[in-house]
Amino acid sequence: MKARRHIACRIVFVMSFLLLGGCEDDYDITKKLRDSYRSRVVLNSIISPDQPVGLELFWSIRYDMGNEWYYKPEYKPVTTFTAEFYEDGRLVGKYDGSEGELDTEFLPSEGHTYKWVVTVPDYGQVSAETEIPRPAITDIRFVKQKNDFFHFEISRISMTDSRRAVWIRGQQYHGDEHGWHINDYYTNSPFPDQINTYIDSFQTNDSEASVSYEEFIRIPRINTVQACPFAFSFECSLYIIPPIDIDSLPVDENGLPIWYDEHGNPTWEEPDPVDLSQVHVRVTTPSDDYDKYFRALYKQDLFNYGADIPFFSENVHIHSNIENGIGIFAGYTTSSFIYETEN
Amino acid sequence: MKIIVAIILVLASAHHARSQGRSFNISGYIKDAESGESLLGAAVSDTEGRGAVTNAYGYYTLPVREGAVQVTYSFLGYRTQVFEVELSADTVINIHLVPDIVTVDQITVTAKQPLLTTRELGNVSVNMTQLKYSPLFLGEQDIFKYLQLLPGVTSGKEGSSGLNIRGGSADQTQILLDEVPIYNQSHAFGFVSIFNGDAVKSADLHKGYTSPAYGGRLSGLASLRMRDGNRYDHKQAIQVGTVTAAAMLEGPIKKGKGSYIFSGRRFVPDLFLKGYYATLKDSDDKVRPNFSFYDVTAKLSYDLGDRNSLYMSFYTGHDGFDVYYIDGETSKQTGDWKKTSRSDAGFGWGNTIASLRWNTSVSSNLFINTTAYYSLLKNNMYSQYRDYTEKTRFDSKTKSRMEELGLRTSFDQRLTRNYSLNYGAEFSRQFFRPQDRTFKAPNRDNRMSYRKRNLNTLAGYVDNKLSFGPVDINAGVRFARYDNSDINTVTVEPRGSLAYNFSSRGSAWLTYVNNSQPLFSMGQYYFSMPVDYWVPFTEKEIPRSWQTSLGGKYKLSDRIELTGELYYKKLKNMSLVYDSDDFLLEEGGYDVAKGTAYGFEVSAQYTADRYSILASYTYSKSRREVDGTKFPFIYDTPHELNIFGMYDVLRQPGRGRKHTLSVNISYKTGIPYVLSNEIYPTVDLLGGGINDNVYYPLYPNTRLTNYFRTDISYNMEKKKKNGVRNWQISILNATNHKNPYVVYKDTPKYRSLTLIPFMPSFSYKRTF
Repeated sequence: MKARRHIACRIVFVMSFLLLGGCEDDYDITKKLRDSYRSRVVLNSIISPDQPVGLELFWSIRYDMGNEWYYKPEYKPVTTFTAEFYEDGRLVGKYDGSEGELDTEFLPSEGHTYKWVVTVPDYGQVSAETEIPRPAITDIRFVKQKNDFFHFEISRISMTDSRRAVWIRGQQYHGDEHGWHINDYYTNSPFPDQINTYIDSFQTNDSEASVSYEEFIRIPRINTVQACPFAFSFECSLYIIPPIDIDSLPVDENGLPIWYDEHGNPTWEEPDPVDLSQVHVRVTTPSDDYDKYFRALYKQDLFNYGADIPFFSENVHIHSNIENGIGIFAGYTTSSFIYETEN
Repeated sequence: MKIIVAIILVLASAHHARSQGRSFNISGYIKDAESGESLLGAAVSDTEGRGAVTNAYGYYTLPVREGAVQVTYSFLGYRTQVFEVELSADTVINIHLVPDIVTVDQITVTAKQPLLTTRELGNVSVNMTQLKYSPLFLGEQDIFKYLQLLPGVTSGKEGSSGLNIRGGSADQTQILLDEVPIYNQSHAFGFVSIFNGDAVKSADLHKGYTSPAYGGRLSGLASLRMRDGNRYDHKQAIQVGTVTAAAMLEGPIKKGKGSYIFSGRRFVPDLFLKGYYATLKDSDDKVRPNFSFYDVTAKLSYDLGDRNSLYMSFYTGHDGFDVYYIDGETSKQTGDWKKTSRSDAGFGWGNTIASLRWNTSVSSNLFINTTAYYSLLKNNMYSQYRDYTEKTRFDSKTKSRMEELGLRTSFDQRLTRNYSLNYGAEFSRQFFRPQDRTFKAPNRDNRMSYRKRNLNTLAGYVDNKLSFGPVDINAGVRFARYDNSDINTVTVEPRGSLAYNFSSRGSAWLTYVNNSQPLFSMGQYYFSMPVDYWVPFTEKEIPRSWQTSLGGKYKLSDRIELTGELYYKKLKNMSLVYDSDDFLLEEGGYDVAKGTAYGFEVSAQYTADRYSILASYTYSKSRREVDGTKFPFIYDTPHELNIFGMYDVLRQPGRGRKHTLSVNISYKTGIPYVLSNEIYPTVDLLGGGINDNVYYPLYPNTRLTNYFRTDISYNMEKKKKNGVRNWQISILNATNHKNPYVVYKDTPKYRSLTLIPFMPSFSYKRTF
């Protein structure tokens, strides 16, 4: 059993409910609020020097659309639109987009400001501006592996641009192309942002920390010097079992795959496990928009969707820099450290 | 300002000159004859009807003309006493008033008393005797829950112990216990206030005019005073409620000269919980949470002769939530279960205050109060992991701490029959230590502290009180110098009031008050938590407010009193923190806001032989403004109606029995709230599997449904052989109205949480 408990808010409610036995009911928002709904254009575009610029354009929908039991809102893409892309105020591309997506071949670079101006028929112009900061200079080294945990140390974080924070995240690769994002991070340093802190002592032997950070470690700019040397660890899967190739299974008269023979034995052979090959540590230097958006996104998830305790539900505003629309246009740069495993 | 001061001095001296005939002062203390407790606000008057009231320490000064004079002493609930005095010199008369009720020990069996005393200038005083019949909250007689029912006051979120006064936030209300600032008045996350009803003598709430003697908050003042203890008899009381057990001891140190009072209260359910945990084996796979709180109140008082008194007050209390988990494994060889590790986590908060007060009447017309005090607010969060196999230990602690040391002295001087002057000074030094984090691991210790800051406050004030026939004038000013280590600033806060007593039945008043606030509270989370902490001001322009009000009260008959008041308030330079981390790192995280609040409050009080009713209605509007955007204050409640009634169902003085039924009905507009009607696709770079963003605007865009609650209480008192037994049963929200505490998205609909559904509670009290 994984003993995970949030430091404060997630344990408080136990007492509250023991005492009070609060009750929950459906709540109908006012007609006035419901009627005030107006669908807006959603522009999402996250850019970095690592990939060509692209954007997604959808329509927002009313909060209560979707199925109650299997909630999956379907966002309609903006079917046709034109887009202009500017670098430091200079037009660098003019594009026609359709079905809510636009991929360009333009590769942005650090230290510049960028702007989207998108025209949507019968709606108007949607625009947003952001920048790509220069990456923080970091010295990262692999320290050790302890069972499933990989320990690293960052001896220096030097921010050339005055940004709000650096974000540390990890990725694990098992020979496949995309890799897997690492969810839990461990450190005994008191300098990271505490917004995503959990007490996770179950893993302490291997992680060498009793405090866990969910999804990322964010170190505020003002703490980056004091935080170093910054020791942290995260857990990886030392191997994965690839999914079974269904096409290789025998089929019945209806063409459906046969999983077990008449004796109850599997008709398939378990794939060979694939060992962990690489572990990446990525230090992201975010634009202010990136930092505000993703931090608020996490908070909203924590206090709203993720608030399994209604007592502490809070409706969190998410940063948006889109004029005449909603969404986010933000830039970032990343410096990576790659550790090749011995497998 | 200089002009105002000059006018006051000229008026005072002119009047002083006119009244230079030989006159002398009668001064002294007015006390309760049964307990020796000083009586605050008791009246004394001479033959001509000129009068005075006792100050906050029970002391009065009445200038009267030479010769024979009839002096009348009166106080609500006490027999009026009249003396004939032949005055040829200043005279000290200490009076002990006898309660004007037939009591069987503490059972009141005669006429009801008004629930509230509305003093002039929009301030009210709660009748603590009548408070014991009000509905219980979790089995507690909570003075703060009662204050929240007053017109112009709101609790904010249900269950909170905050006092949001006339559009101000809870941290804009100063809370004093025996003149010592309290910075967190909450037990059990706000469901219970820290003030033990048995130990409180008086509670005054200042919504409008506040004497220049008090400052440092923008919106109001709640001043509570602890009882001194019985000076003649040793008394004991025990009380058991739904969640607490309490005890009180009081009695004379030296009969008639000094007294002591000790009271303590403790949360009880955790004792049962601990007993249950004791029956568990370590191998039981259970997370073990626990919550507890306690408070201890003590006071000593002693008279040093007729003119000097010493008082020592002390309070300490703590709340703690803890949880632990023991992990282990079963040996494959022996089958024995072995403990391998233990995880602990939790948090807590608490206050400690102490004060030493010296009262002296230097002469018949000069009373001096000097108070030295200490106040501490501390919060902590911790986690600990102990590995029994590898014999390692990990600790993480986050502490916040705020301390205040202060000294204040006030001079209360009656210069003539018509003119008295109050003046004084105070100095305080506050130490802010927000979020001191210590993380310890076997081979690494780390520590991080947000910047420690101090705040020095030096303030002085003068308050002139003049009386011209039916007209009473207060004109004063408070000067304060605040220094937060980076910025120092000086404020000048003029205050004044004009009251006209158009008959013995009614009066009207006009007030103006100007305030500043050098500190504010902030939370680590979006919601208010007991682990919130205080920080000093950040901008050169510190938060300021002014308020003007026009009000009056009128007694239609001996039983019916009406009051009404209009007010208008402006606030500016308020720091609204929306990101505590950024704020503490001095990276912004806050907006500078201004605000406006206005409204009117009316109330009617009917007091009959067996029952009393207090009904009040408030209309108010409170707005905030940030960068030109206006939005409602989060606890803006335009309409609020409260009706509180008590009825003596059974009165049998001969058998020492009394049963009282009380009902409180409260209705108010739902508070502003942020809700969404829009969702949109997200960019999920965090890997958390988030698909949708919910659009919530920055500021409230709707209101929660209107609030309605009916509380009923039944109190049964019976005289026993050596004291009184009291049972009380209460039901909160008797109609089980669904008052939303929070509304949250449970896609694709909204759900609400009601914090206080139909909720019964009880209390048993026995005095000896």
